[in-house]
Amino acid sequence: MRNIRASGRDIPFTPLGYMRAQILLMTPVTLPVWVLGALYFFFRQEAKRFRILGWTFIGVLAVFIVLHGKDYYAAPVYPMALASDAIVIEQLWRPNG
Amino acid sequence: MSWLKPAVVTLILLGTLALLPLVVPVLSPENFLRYQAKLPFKIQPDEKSMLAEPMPHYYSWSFGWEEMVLAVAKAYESMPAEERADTAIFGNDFGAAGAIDLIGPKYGLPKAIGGHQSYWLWGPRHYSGQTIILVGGTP
Repeated sequence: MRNIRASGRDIPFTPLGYMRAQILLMTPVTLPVWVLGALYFFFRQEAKRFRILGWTFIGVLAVFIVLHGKDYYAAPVYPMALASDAIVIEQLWRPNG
Repeated sequence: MSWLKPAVVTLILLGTLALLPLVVPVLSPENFLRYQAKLPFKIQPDEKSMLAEPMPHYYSWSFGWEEMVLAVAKAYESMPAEERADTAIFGNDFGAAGAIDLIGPKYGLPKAIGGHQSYWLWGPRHYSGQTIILVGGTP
């Protein structure tokens, strides 16, 4: 990434621009899905064991914002937020189950 | 909340369908330009080269390869036969190197060499490096 910066090839994202690109990358309709999925790691008692995944999610985005990565560099971080949101949706779907 | 699951799936499918042309080249270039003009937001360019191009790279980079390879083939053919045998075609990025490999054979070109990302895995092949046709970029 240092070499890419040195080559001047890229137009670096602003932090806000990077998050905007993330929303577009994931298609905007999935925004509540992955945001709730990421929050699940922090705010549910039973998810405490997996809190590190929440920090990983934030950490990966932060690293690429700071180092000026491309939007898709962060793509692999989403499956785990989608997985945890599946639990959220499942709990809403079957509140007592 | 029994509607929730089908609603989420439907919403995601519809949202994906609406934005599919942004990630998969499903439209013709003309239709993509029309689609792009109607989008409620602008696609933010992430490389400087995008500023001069009317479409994002995954569309704009599907043009010009044939002409590029043809120009290389002309340069290659213009060389004396004995020198040609040891003339490497160096693709400055994987696009150029890949175009030589894919389209080159029909113009009688050998495989390219290149150092971009994992293209270096193919190494210098049998070339000594004495003569090189550089494709894309400056020496």
